[in-house]
Amino acid sequence: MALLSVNDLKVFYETKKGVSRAVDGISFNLKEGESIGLVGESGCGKSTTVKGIVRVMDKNAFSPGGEVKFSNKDILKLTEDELNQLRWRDIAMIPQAAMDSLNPVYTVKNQFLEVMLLKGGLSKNEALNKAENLFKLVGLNPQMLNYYSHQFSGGMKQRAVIALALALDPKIIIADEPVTALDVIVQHQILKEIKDLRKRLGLAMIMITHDISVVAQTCDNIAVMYAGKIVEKGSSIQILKNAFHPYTMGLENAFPNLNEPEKELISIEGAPPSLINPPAGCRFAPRCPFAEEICFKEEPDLEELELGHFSACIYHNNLDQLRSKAKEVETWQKINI
Amino acid sequence: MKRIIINTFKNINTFLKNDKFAMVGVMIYIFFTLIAIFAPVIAPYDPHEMHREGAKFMFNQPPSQKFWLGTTNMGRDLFSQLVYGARPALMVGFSAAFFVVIVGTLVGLIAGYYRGKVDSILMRITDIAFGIPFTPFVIVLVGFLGPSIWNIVVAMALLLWRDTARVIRAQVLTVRERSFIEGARVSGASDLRIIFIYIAPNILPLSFLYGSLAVGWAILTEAAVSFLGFGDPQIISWGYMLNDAYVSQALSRGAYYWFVPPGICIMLVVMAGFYIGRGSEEILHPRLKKY
Repeated sequence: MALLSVNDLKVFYETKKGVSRAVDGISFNLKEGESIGLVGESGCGKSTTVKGIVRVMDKNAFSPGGEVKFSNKDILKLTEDELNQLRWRDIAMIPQAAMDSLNPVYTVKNQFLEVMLLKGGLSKNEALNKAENLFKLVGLNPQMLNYYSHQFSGGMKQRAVIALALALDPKIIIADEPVTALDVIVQHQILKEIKDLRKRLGLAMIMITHDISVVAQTCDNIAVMYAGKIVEKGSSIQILKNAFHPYTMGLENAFPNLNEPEKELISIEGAPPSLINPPAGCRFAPRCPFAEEICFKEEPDLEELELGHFSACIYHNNLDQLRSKAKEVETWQKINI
Repeated sequence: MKRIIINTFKNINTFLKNDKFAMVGVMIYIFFTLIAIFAPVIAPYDPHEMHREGAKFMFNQPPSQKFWLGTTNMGRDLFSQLVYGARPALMVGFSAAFFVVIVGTLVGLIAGYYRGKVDSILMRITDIAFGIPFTPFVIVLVGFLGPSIWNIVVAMALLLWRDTARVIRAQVLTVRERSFIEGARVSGASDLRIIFIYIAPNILPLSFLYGSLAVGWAILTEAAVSFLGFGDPQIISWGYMLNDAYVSQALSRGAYYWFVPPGICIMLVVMAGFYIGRGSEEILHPRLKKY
């Protein structure tokens, strides 16, 4: 049974120009110990999705529909108190800006103790022990607990924040671009750390990133998001080897490939559409080099084309041909926006 | 809690050793506080007493063994006046600074944290406070409440929190957007807890800076108001001494022993406030600590 199941989740923003449908009907399941990566461009609703899941939405956001099931409870229907019980203890978050996530005027130890004493109900000694163990677990010297956040380097801060997220033994961690602000070497170390930790502690994880190589390294499953919708989802291997959706193909083109170092990186022209008046039909159609007339009229459903591999595109056959075409620069230059 | 207090003292101690300016500031404060407390012991005479030798009043005496700083045109001992003058200065300075810090910080924290309507209302009140000129306001208060040094404290509590409130609010606006605050909110911390436990320590150095500047401001204002002749005639302050010297034309007579000492005292106390404010940032903000 799925640990967390998200069904048709919608999160809209109330803006001056109208309602922006930032997350428009998203579904996925997360099993115990499994990890899923949400991938997509900036502004396609990745962060909003997880904010909707743990209900930490901005003031002008609301959730008009959907269901987020966690251990037989619908998170969207919980009261604020019940939610507080659940956050951090069951679902913890590694925030996007680790640099900013520690209060600069308290030592890191104080911040650990506060969470563990107030939310975890541990005694002070237990909490101290646990904080030290967590620090060891993420590869930090327990001595550093007595330091202030400015005495940590970027990578150390990220590790400390991960340890802090694990303070109350959550079942799921949500990592919102946990390595974006770090240099590649530290990125690699942290990702490895996260992967090891997940294995050791049996954690489930939702990872948000726009970097497809990050999910390739850490996640079992991938959901590719575009303009508030999932356009393709499946296991990492399925998606990285056999992308079905032109958008996924485009994304893969935009990242360097070790096997073809000579290859030019190709970007997808244009930007995601406005979510206040999303285009009729497939939302990717205006930027899609393979779009047919029907794409602009009818919105394709997410269909299972392979066991566990879904895609929302009219193309079901001859995908090999599409994939090889998608690797050519000319294909993507044809689109006029 | 005990440990925090001990730590704070340790910090203050190490910091004073490192920061010569703050050390000087603290020493000046301690010096004047002691003088204010022990004024009756230190001062050789009653500052109001008119001295005479036989039937002759000791007017305008230059400094001598008997009168260390000479006497006024009414034969009063200037050194005793100077010693007693420390009392109103420090009283006004510290009580005004206290209100400025408390009111300004609270207004800034609440306006910055809640934003929206609360913010608009508080900031419009701040704008009104900014619109009122300070010294004339004190003089008007004297008109309503009668001359007293507490007018200055009242006026500062009513008006001078405005700068602190604005600056604190701006700082709170940036702190409240940081993710550790969002994290606290999401994990169920109450508004009050967020304001006072998570945000306040981040902006305290600023409040202290403004507080120590306010000490100087208050003493300066008291001196100015007394110099203009709106002070309490019963209380001898440094400003009163300057006013007395001015009115009796000590300046044109070159009676430097009359007007220079109170001027120096005012300057020293105001300076000390600034030095301490400059250093308090370091105690309270771990980032600036030297290792």
